[in-house]
This record gives sequence, structure tokens and C-alpha cells, in this order.
Amino acid sequence: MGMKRYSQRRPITILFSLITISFITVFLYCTVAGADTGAPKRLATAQQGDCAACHTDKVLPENHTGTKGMVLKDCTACHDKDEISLKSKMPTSHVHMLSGILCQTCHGKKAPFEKVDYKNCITCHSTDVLAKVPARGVFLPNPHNSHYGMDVDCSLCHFQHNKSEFMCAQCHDFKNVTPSPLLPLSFLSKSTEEKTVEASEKVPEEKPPAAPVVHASVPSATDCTSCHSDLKFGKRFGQTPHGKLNCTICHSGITDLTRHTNKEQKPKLTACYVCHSDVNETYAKSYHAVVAKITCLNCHVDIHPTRAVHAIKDKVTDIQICTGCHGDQDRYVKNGHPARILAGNKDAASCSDCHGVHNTPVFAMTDAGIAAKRSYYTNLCVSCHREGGVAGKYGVFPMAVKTYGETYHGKVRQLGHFEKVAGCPDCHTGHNILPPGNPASVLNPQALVKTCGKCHHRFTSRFVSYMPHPDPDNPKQFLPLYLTKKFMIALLAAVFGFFWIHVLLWWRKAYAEKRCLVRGGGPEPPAEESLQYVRRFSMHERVMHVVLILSFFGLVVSGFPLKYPDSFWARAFMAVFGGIQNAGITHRTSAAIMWLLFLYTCWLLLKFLFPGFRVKGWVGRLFGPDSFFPRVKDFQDCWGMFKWFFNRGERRRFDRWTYWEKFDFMAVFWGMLIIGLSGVIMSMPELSSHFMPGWIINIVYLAHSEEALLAAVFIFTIHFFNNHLVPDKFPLERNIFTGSYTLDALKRERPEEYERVLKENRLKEIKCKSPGTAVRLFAGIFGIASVLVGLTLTVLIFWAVFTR
Amino acid sequence: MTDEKVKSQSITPISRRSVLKGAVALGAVAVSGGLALNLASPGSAEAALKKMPRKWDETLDVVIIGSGFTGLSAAAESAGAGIETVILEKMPVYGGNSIINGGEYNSWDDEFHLRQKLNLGDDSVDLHEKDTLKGGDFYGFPELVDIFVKGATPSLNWMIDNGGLKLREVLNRTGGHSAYRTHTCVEGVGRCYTEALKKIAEGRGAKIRLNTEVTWIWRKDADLKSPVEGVEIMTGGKTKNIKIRKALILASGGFSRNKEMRQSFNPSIVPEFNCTNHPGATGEMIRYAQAVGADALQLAFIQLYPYAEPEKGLLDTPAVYPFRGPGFGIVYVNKLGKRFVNEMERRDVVSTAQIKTGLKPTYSIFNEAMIPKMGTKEEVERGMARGRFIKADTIAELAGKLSIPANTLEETIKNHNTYMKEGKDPDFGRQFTKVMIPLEEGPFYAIAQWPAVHHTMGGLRINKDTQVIDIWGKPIPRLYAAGEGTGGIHGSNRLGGNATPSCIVYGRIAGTNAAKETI
Repeated sequence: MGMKRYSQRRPITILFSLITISFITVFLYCTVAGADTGAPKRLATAQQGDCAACHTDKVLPENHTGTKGMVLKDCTACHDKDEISLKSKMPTSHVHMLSGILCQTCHGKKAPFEKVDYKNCITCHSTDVLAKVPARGVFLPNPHNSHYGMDVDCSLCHFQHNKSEFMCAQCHDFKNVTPSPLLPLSFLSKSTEEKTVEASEKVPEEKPPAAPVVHASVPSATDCTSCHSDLKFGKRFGQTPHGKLNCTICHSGITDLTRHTNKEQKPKLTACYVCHSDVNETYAKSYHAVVAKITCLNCHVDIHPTRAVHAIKDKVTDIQICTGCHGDQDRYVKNGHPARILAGNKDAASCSDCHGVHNTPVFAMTDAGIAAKRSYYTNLCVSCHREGGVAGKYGVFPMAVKTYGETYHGKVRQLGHFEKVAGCPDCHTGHNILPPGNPASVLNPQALVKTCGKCHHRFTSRFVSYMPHPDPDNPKQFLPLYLTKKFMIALLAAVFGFFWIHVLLWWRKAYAEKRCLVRGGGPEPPAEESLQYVRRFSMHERVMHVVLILSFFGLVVSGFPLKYPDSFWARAFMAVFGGIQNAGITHRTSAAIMWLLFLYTCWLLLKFLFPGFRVKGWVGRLFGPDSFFPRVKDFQDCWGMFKWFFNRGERRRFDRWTYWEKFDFMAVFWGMLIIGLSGVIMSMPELSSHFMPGWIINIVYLAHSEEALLAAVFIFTIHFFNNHLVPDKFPLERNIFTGSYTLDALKRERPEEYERVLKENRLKEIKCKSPGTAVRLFAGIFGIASVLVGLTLTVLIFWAVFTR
Repeated sequence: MTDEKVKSQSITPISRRSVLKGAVALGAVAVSGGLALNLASPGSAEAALKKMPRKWDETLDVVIIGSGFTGLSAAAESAGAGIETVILEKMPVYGGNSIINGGEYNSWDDEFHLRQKLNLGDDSVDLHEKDTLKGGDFYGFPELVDIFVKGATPSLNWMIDNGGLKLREVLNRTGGHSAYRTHTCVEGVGRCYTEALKKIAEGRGAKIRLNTEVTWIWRKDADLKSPVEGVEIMTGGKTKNIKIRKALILASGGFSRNKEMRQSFNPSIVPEFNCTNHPGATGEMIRYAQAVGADALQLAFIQLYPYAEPEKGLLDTPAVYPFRGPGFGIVYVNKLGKRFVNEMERRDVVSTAQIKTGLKPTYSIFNEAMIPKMGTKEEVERGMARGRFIKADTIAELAGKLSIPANTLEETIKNHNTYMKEGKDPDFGRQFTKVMIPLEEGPFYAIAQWPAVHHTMGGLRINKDTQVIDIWGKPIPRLYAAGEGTGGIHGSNRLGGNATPSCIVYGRIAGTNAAKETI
């Protein structure tokens, strides 16, 4: 029994041992490797400023000045601002260490090291002084005198060996940072009144070496100011952010004061980047560095201030600094945003708000560069002028961005081809931006011809009545556009409403009937009739349909990305075309083909109505069974079909053309009228201005777009269903491609035509051979592919419509 | 208990009690004498294996769990009797909820006789008792109420004399009280009492250990003579066992911050409610005591503080003003500018009325003249800087700032002023007194308020000597409890300002009795 159990368990045992061994290996590896890569060591013997002693990996940035021998005061000379405060960034033990409070001061000299109690802290730090520090704002109270009183354990917030945390934030919404980067450290002091400010100097007992090692042979600030005695080197400099730095930190290279005074030793070039490495990195790529070759000191002229120092740089000083070089007041300052700032508006954009401070970008003069530049500056305009943006506060037209986005300009921008169309500064200009009402404005009616003429050529002055920010939902701004939009919506709703209901009802009915047929077995058609083919479409007509399909797809795939430029597929389509240029060519070529097809069809219709220029009998032909023109029977058929859908009558007996086929055909006429004519107008906007005002383009643009949606979705849903996807023809009615179908099908689908043919004895005339394999194969592949492409496009279009 | 004893029990006629008792003592007793009484998470591995510690890491005379009003008072008395006393506190700061409370203390009298001095009418022990019992819908035990009400005044004087407590020269008549008896300390926060108590307790030799969490109470079995033997603690990530020679005092407070526990007793206190308490008010000591046989009662009574800051549920200094104000004519209005409750009502009534308005938050309206009666100008100014108080010169302007209809608010205030003059409130039946101030002269102030979970009235069952009573109705030897963690004192609704005196009076009793236990 025992043996058996053992043998059964053996594989498990082995597996278990393997797992255990691998765990041990991993653990051991981690332990060994951890010595190199893990947490920093806590070396009690480490010297101040010797970061590398504990941190084996590099903790300081690449070009940081050497820290050996530094004390906290040397660090805070540079790191005195909120965002780079060392006090709040480093574990507090580092601050202690740099202030000369070594490990043993608190933990004792010998192992076992003592746990540090709150009582240790208050031998140096004064709870009284801390409690008196005033609050720095409503949400920055002094936490040292809270409802918990003053005697709270320091280590609740001030962690020594980890980054500190602010305990009060567990319940309160205060914004304090522990320890505060702004306040000096507070120590126990003999006379508590005076000692809050310079407390950091008063490190008791364990005083650090008086001067750091690196500074030993270097002149001190007082040495320098004894000669360089100007006010700008003395008191005023002291108030600047650099004021705490020793002169030699920037003006390095002076090692011997005598040689310097004998003019034998000059300071090296000031290297701001040593400390300001983060700024330097961005600045190196900026316009001022790359093109203008300007250095830090060209703009930062007040390092040694010649006048009283402004503590905070505001937007006005910002403008002053820039206009030091860009001095054309008329061009840059007199009007527009800067004028607003100088008038006291703090929200208006200053030079640097748009052009950046250290990151003024450079753009190549290539297509991509122009696009990037337009995009960069337009995005900046958008950031304030969008709906709900800052600009709205001052009564600027709030819909500017949204309505621009609906125009050709805006949509091409979204497609990523900004080199083709105008962005904000192209029309409004970059500087001197003024409202249209101002005579000096580039948007003033007189000036517009010139403004538009920057891109558009050979137009009449009527062209400029085009609205670049049309709001179709605002009847007060633009009534014709408002009405056009409402009309197009009504048209779409009516057509889709009617035919989708028609489709759904048909679907239901067809399925119900099919089920009955399956149950009843269904009548078997006579073999002869199912093998005999009759002609329905001539070669001519079939080729026309194939060309129509191809041109229609060409139009849809090249046009819809522009209609929905923000949808996920729009840019992908553009990529397939290889750019918007090619898409435009495709669109225009397809449109031309469709126009030719349309004109040819018109010609055929005329031939049908007036064969051999014979006018007589045209009424009969127009309303005859072979005509596409609607007649009374079509309305009766439609009504009858609805009855049939509801099981209130027999299926209608159709003649050669059913009413939905006629609708498909007739729709082309209104479609071509709206979409074709509008397309022609838009394809040559400047030329059209010789015949009509520019605002017509706004109207035809909207009509073209909405009609395109109607046409595409109508074809891809309703036409496809009625002719191919209806259950008794699913998946494809091939006769439009093969040209013929069986006699049986003719009899079943179009009994009236069949009877007419029999009566007129034309059966022999229309009888034909069954289509060849090649034709059938082509019909199947091309037909199914078209249907699938159409349905896919429908899904994409709906996706775009419903995720907008 | 040995096997023999179990056998003898099963021979004697079986009473209901002995069956239950057997169940309580079940696994532990039957298997071996070395196991401790333990009902924690039945079925879990821990429940079956909680062994009595073989050796103790430390031995102490009196151990107190919790460093709030109760724990500090108990420590003061116990240490005062010359007994080694240690307070265990799981949080990193001492004081629990007490140190952050509103600083209100109800007492019918004090050594300065403030009430007479300020000419604020009559009061007596009897009246205070009646108000307390009525305010709790007579769910409180009269003998327990009697003790703390009688002890309130001497204890207040004790803190003034020995602890350096300083009172403000004001008295408030707060919701549910029929007299001006609510004292306020100078700091305006419970720290003034905890500091006074801490000064007395530490002066007498008591020690406080912070960051020390009690994780179990050791008791061998549920025998009537089986005492509490020690506690298991967790400190600095290590588990230790402390043997207790005299007594264990539970002063660990309520469970307002324990969302699961409060909803398990009162499903209407949904987790979405804010809470005014400190994060440590999680009530696990009540559960541990129950697990060693203690009885608990009235745990479903959970109080909402009607005037908490609406966003986070803080009970900051401004949030005490609406509570202090009713006696001086403060008016509560909803967002439509209408009154919705009698301002003199108890906390539960006001909270329910607020929730029923269906419009968060509601506001208290008062004027400049009331400020010195309720607090200080500085406090109000600080509150205004934080956006807690809203100030305006006229009622209409105030309404505008609160975005509530100005006409309605003006009418509401006008009507209320008329009612005050006539001494009759036909809308909500408010009781008016002579010292109330009509809202006629500005500037006017408003503060937003909304209920938050504040106090758990239920808890462990204790007797007059603060001994914890087991489920058979007998005291558990060497186990005492007092404060918010005990039940049966405040009934269904604690009146504001009653918690502090009840904690301190019962804490002192517990400390005194614990010190008297023989080793």
C-alpha cells in the first residue's frame, strides 16, 4: 500500500521539488543581485553630498554639478523653487545629513541603534516656533497647531527614510506638501521672535565644515563685490532668484584672485545649461536657437538687474521682453491680443502663450512643415476659442471652432492634410487680429478679397460672401443654410422612413411565406421552364450598371472620409489613396464618369420616347409598361404590396418594372440634380463666383453632403435588399450582370410581362441561351463583392454617424 | 474546565442556559483546557486553534484600551490609586474622536455658576435627567443616566481644578435640551478636555502607548468565575501577549467608521453616508468582547450629526455653530428658502427632516449678534475664508449667494421674527425664550449642513459599576467598559453635549473600580 502510494506520488513530488528549487534559486539570485540594483545602502559613514556612496545607480541628472562636500545651503541656492524643492522630494534623513545631522546624532553611535522618538526631534526643532508659522492660504493651514495640538509625533508626516506624506489629507482637503518646500526649517531657539527666517543656519552642535571643499580656493561673493560694486551686483542681484548663488557658480574659471585683478585670468563663458539642463534641452530645438542663434542672455537681460526687480514675471513683462527684438509696435502690439493684455486683460494671449518661451518651434518649408505649422498654431487658437474656452468669456463667437470644423477647410484639417487648407491664422492673421467690423481688419469686407486671394484666384468679389464659420442650426445667422439643413433632414427621414418600413415588412412576410413553403413542400416548377433562359438586360445595360457601380464606389470611398474626418477609418482610407490629392482626383474622375453615364442615359431616354425622331405616341410610351415613368398601377402595386405584407391580399402581379425599381431609377434624376450640380459648383468655387454669390457654396456643400448620405445608405440598404437580399433572391440577383434569367423566374416575378410577351408572341424573341460559366462566375464574384463592400461601408458610415 | 466537569454538567437537569453555555464554550472546553474562549469567525481555522498563550511577554496591572475621554479618565483614577496603568492606543495619535469633538459638555452647574451669572434661567440634575431620557425615547436605563448626570458637574470642576481646563463664558441651549447647560471650552474643540485629562493621568503616572493595537481578549472559558486574563497586541508589526493582573478597561469607542458593522445593525445607515469620526472608530473591541461572552445591546441606534460639512462630512469648528445656535434663535432653511423643522428638536429629528427635504444641503441662518453667544468672531472669520460661512448684509443678498429664492427666504425670516415676538410658531411649534435674537439686523450669515454618521448609542452591556455583563446577566470578572462602546445610556438618540460627561464620569468609575480589584 505504502509503495503504491509512493509510486503514484512520485511525479508530483518531483514537480514540487523542482518548483521549490526554482523558487530558492530565484530568491538567492534576487538577494545577490539586490546588492547591486536594489534600494540604496544606508551607510552611516557616508559623507555629506556624497550621493554615490549610498546610491550606486545615478540619482542626479547627467550634467548636474558635482555635489561632493556640498551642504544643504549649497543645494538650496539653486533648488529653491516649489517644483524642484529638494526638501519635499528627498527623504528627510537626506536633509538632516546635508545639514550635518548624521545618522549617529539621532540613532546613537553603537549598535543596537536606538529607535528615534519624537523627543529626539524636539531637542532641535521647536514645536512652539512651528506652531506660530502663519497659514499660507485657506487650504494651506499650518498643520503643526491643529486640533491635535502641538505635541504630535513628527514621524507621522515626516518620514526619515521614505518620501514624506501629509497625514491630515486622510480627512481634509488641504494642499500642503510635507515638508513644505517654501518654509525654512524651524529650530529650537532662545528668543523665538527673531529666529524663524534664518533658522536653517542655526544647526546646533554638529556644525558642518565651515566652507565646502570645492569652494575653498575660490573667491567668495564678498571678494567679487568689493570691486564689482554696482547696485546691480549687490542688493538688487540679491533679490533675484540667483541672488543666493556665489558669483563663481556662473562665472567659473577664476581660481586666483590676484591673477584675475591683473586681468590675466578671465571667467569662462557663462554656462546656464549646467543648472537649467531641462530648459536647455527644449531650447536647443527652438526657433531662437536653431534659426536666430540667440542665447539665454539675449532675453534674460536682467540677471544683474539694472532696475528694481519684478518678483513675478507677468504677461506685460513677457511682451516687453519679446518686443526688445521684435520691435514693430504696429505689427505686434498695437492691436489684437497684446493690446488687450496692456489694457489689463490677463486672459488674453501674450507672445509666449502662442510662441512658447523656450520652445518656439521651427517648421520646415515643406508640405509637411506647413501642415505642422498650421496645425500647431491653429491648435493654440482652438485651445482658447473652442466652445467653452476662455475666449467665450469676452463675447467672442463661441461656435467659431465647431463651425469651422464643419467646413471643407476644417474637415481637410482633421484628415491631416493641413497643407491644403486654411487654418485660423491664414485668414485672421497671426498678429494684429481684429474683428471684421474694424476697418483695419483683414476680415473687413473691403480687405476680404485680398485675404481670400492669398489662396484662391480668379474669383469675383461676390466670392467673399462665403461663410467660413457657418452655423446651420442658427436661423438668425444664416437662414438659407438653416432651411437647407431642415429640408435635407426631412428628405432623408421621409425616404428612409418609408423604405425601411417597407423592407422590414417585406422581410417578415417573405420569411413567413418561405416557412409555409418548406412545410408544404412547395410546388416543383416544370423542368423545362426552369432551364429555359430569357433575356432581361442587354449587354449595353449591363455594362452601364457595372460602370455605375464602380463610379459610385469611387465616389463613396473618396468622399465619405471627408464627410466624417474624425471617424477612425477616415485617415485609413486617405492612407490607402495615398493622400487627399489622390482621393480628390478619384472623386472627380468618378463624378465625371457618372455624369457621362447620366447624360448617356438621358440620351437613351429620349431615344426611347422619340424613336427615330418620331414624336407621335410619346405619351403612350411614357406611361407604357416598358417605361420607367411612374403610372397609376405603380401606386396600386405599392398599396397592394403593403396589403400583402399584412396578409390582406395576394402578392401583386408586376410588369416589366416594379415600382421600387422605378424609384431607384428616378431617384438618379433628383440625385444628379442636387449632388451633381453641387459637386460641379464646388469643384470650381472661384469660377462659380462669376455666376452666383459665395454663400451658395455653403448651401450646396451641405446639400451635397447630406444627399450623398441619402444616396449611399439608400443604395446599400434599400436597393440591396429589394433586389438582392430579399429572401427569395438571397444572396444575389444575378440577372443585372448575366443579362438573363429563367422563364420560370419571369413568370413568377413579372407575370404581367410574361403574359404580355405571350400575347405579343415575343417569347421566341427574348429566349436566349443560358449564360456561360465565365459570365456567371463574374456576376457572382463582382455582385457579391459589391454587396459586401456596400454593407461594410454602411457599417462604417453608421459607426461614424452614431459615434460623432 | 476538565472532561469530568463537562460530564457532570450533562448529568444535571438541562436548563436552557446550560445548553447555551455549553455551546459558547464548545470546542475549547471539550478538547483541552489549553484553548481560549473564542467565537471569532466560526468555522475558520483560527477559530478552532486560538490557544491561550503559554507565556506572557509582559504583565501589567490595569490595561485600558483607547485614549479618548473614557480611557484618560479611567487612567487618571486608576493611576491615582497608585496602580500601574497603561493605555493602549492603536492610532499614531492619542485622543480618538474625543480630541476632535466639538468641545461641548453638558452640566447643570459648574464652579463658576455660569448659568446664574449669565441669567439663563433654571436647571437641575432632575431636568437634565428627564431631557436625556426623553431625548432617547426612554430606551436609556434611568439608573445609568442618573449616575452620569449627577457626576457631570463634579467631573467638570475636577478638570478645571486639576487639569487646567478653561471654559468660555457662554452657555448654549442645544437641540433636545430644555435648559442652557451646554458648556464650551476656550479652544472650541475636545482637545481641551483630553489635554486636561491627559495632564491629570500622566501626572499620576499613567502611560500611553501609541501604535499599539489590541487583537484579542484572553479569557479561558465562559464560566462565571473565569476572568479576563490578558490581551494580544500588535505593535511595530509584532504580536505580543500582555497578562493583566487587575483589570482590563474597554474605552475603545464606537463603530461609526465601520461601514459593514453599522449597516449590519441598521441597514438604513448606508455606506454612502459621510462620517464625522476619526478613521479608527471601527468597533472591533465590541466584537472581541462579545466573542468572550459579553452581552451587547441597542446596536441599531446610530446617530446622524445633522450639521456636518456636506462634502466630506467633517465636523469642523463651523459645523458646531448650527448645533449651538437654536437657543439663540438660529433658523434652519432648505434650498427653497423654507424652514423644514423645529430648530429646537433632537439630532435624529433634524437629520430625518433634512433628508426628507430631498435637496442637499440645508442651511443655518444667523446674524452678527448671535456670534458671541455661540463662539467667536475669529472662528467665524476663519470659517468664511475657507468658504464655510457665507456673509451678506441683507437676507436677499444672502439668498443670492446661496442661490436660493430671495423672496421666499425673506418671507421665511420675516415670519419667524414675528413668531418669535408673539412667542408662538404655528408652523413647527418652536419653543421661544427671552434670550433669543430675531434675525432683523445684519450682517447675516449662513452655513451649509448635511447629516453624517456621528455616534453609535449601542454597545456592551454594563452595570452601574461599569462591569461588563455577560449574556447570562452576570459580570465578567476583571472586565470593565465605558464610553461610546457601551450601550443603554443615551437610548435611541444621544443629546448633543452628553457624550463627554458620560464618558468622563463612567471612565472615572471604571478606573476607580479597576484599581480596587485584588490580584
